[in-house]
Amino acid sequence: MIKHFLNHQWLQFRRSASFERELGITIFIWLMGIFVLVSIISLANALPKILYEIPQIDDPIAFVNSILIYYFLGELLMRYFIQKVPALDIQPYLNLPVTRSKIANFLIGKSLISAFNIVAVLLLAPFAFQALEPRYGQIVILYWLGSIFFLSLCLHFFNILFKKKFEEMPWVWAVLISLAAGNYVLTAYFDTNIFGPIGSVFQSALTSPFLLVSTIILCAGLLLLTLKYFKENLYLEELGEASSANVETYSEKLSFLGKSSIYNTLMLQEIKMIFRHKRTRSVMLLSLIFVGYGLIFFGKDNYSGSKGFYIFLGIFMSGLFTINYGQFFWSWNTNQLDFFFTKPLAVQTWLKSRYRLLLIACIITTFLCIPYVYFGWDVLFLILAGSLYNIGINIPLMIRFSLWGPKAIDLNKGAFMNYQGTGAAQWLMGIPLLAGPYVIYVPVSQLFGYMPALSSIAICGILGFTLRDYFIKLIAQKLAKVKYKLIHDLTL
Amino acid sequence: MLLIKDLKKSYKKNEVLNIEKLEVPQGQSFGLVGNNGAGKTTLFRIILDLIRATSGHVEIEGNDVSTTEEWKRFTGSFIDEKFLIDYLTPEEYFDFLAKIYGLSQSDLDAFLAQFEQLFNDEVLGHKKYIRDLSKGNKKKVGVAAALIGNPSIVLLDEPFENLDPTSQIRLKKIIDAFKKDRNVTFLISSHDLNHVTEICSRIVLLEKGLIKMDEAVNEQTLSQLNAYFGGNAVEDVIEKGE
Repeated sequence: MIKHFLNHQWLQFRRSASFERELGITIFIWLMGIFVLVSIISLANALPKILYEIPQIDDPIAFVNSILIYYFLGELLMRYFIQKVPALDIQPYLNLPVTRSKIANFLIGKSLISAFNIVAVLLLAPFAFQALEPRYGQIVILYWLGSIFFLSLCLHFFNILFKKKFEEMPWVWAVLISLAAGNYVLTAYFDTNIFGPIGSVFQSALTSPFLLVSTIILCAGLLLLTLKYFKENLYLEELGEASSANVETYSEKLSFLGKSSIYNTLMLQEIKMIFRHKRTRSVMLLSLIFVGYGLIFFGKDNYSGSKGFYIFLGIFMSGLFTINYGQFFWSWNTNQLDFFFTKPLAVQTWLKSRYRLLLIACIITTFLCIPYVYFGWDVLFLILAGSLYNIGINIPLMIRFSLWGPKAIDLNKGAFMNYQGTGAAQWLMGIPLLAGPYVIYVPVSQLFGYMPALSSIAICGILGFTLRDYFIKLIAQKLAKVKYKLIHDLTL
Repeated sequence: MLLIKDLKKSYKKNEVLNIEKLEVPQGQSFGLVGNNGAGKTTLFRIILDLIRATSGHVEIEGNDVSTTEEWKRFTGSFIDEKFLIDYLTPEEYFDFLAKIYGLSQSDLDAFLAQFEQLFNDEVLGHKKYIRDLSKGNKKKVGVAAALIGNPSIVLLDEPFENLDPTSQIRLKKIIDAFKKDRNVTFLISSHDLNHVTEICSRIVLLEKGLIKMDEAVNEQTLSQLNAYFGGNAVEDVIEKGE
């Protein structure tokens, strides 16, 4: 059975409609992967030497143990953002005489084949052999590396469980955020933190197998929990989510929009789309959270030297929704194009209303950023310039770029097993958006200084804004050309 | 009226549609029958300019569908559930359509009143998204949406599928009323030979993209069609038997 599963997975990959279209991007990603692997191996080899040569570190072993906890936090973050939850379209197997546990086992087993699970061991093995062995003996290498390996696996299962089960629960996020905030306060004002003591646990692996045994137990527990969760949810997910009972009502407060112009009606419809799907809601929430991103940088002396970096912040913070939402601009309309293209609705009207929505989102984010004036008027001006640039240049760019090989997104699928629509194209798209302002900034700031450079970014934005109808016309013309392909690609 | 000329559609070398000429005069109700893969839905999607024809063109009241957009104002259509915006409630969906077609609230209310029986209190007023409706109720919403905005031509793909017998009869009455009162042209594709011969005045039979039969409906049509499709089935049996 496992053999068949593997075969089907391979066929699914090989025969997917996008396989050939995205072959180039796939190869690029593989090359990147190999590059990262080579980097990790060379870093691992150099690590012992580096640690023993830094004069501030008295005891490299204790030092490594004390920072391991931060490494694992980082790994967890990386896993959360990058690692995919194991997926296999299970519907066709459920009515066959294949046991649920077999399917669940296969999914979990497959997920274990992941580079994340060996990175930690790979990175620290040379260090363990060169630094630990002479002082503590061979068995300690087993204790220490073993604990690290199993802890990494624990994170693996935790990440899967988290993504499937806890992500949806607001209280989990509340706990996580308050933990992080609490730790920040402790470090900043009380000169202590939560992670320090936890980190010192690794030191105990040098003397006893206690840590190894407990990580193995924890890992086994998490494995069982994940398996159990998978088995149960093979039922629930596929036999239809009963989401019927409640209809979202926030958008009713905006229903006045539907009574005014057609532009506002279209906008209201799109707002409903955003509010009523998990995918789009999380884009919105993420954009709100990142409004706080500036707190990390503003008012810190060590960043004030790099004014150029601030430009990035200005664009990023005011344009987060634009970038996050806009990168899938057309993909959001998966399965809706038949509707829009058969109704007496000019494409330009539709485009204009969607432009307006992104514009308003940009203005709202800018308003939310106003408190940054606390760090000085220049910070506010920076954000304003970024916002104007986003409105004038980046919104039309985004709308245009997202026509570039858009992938279908099934909006009705929850976040569960769903990372549809994301591809390397989305990453490449970000380059012109964030690099564009530097094309203006670098020469102007070299010649005239910081403020004139900021002003010219803002002026570019205003220019772009006055040309918006022209941009929309160009996009509409392009759309007329690619219409049939777009309908085909964005139909599930 | 609808005019189709030299229409061809092929995927690579595989020709799926080849219609030399087809004219549907205003007010005619036109039934399209054929087995799966005959090209019915492809034809409908080309008429609605959702897929590009390999050659030839389609005109609705003199407007070439692939180069103009005028025809959208008086062409109603419902092919499948993708024509619905499924995260809206039926009310919101009709409101949205009314806005696009420039109908006032009272116009819309009067329009929806015609569907009261068909909706059977299961569609409106339930605070349910379209995506959570049953297949039959989705179909009702879609068919009603195709008739909004006073269309002169309406394309319906399998309008009776998934409807209960009562609803099928009610829907037939509605289609008849639109034919009689407003001289609407209907293009209806269906596997249900009884229904399609009952409401249509002309039947076109497609097979592998070609028109195999095109005639006005009379008493013999239904038995002719039954014989045709039944004959196919018998032939298959014989071929396999040999």
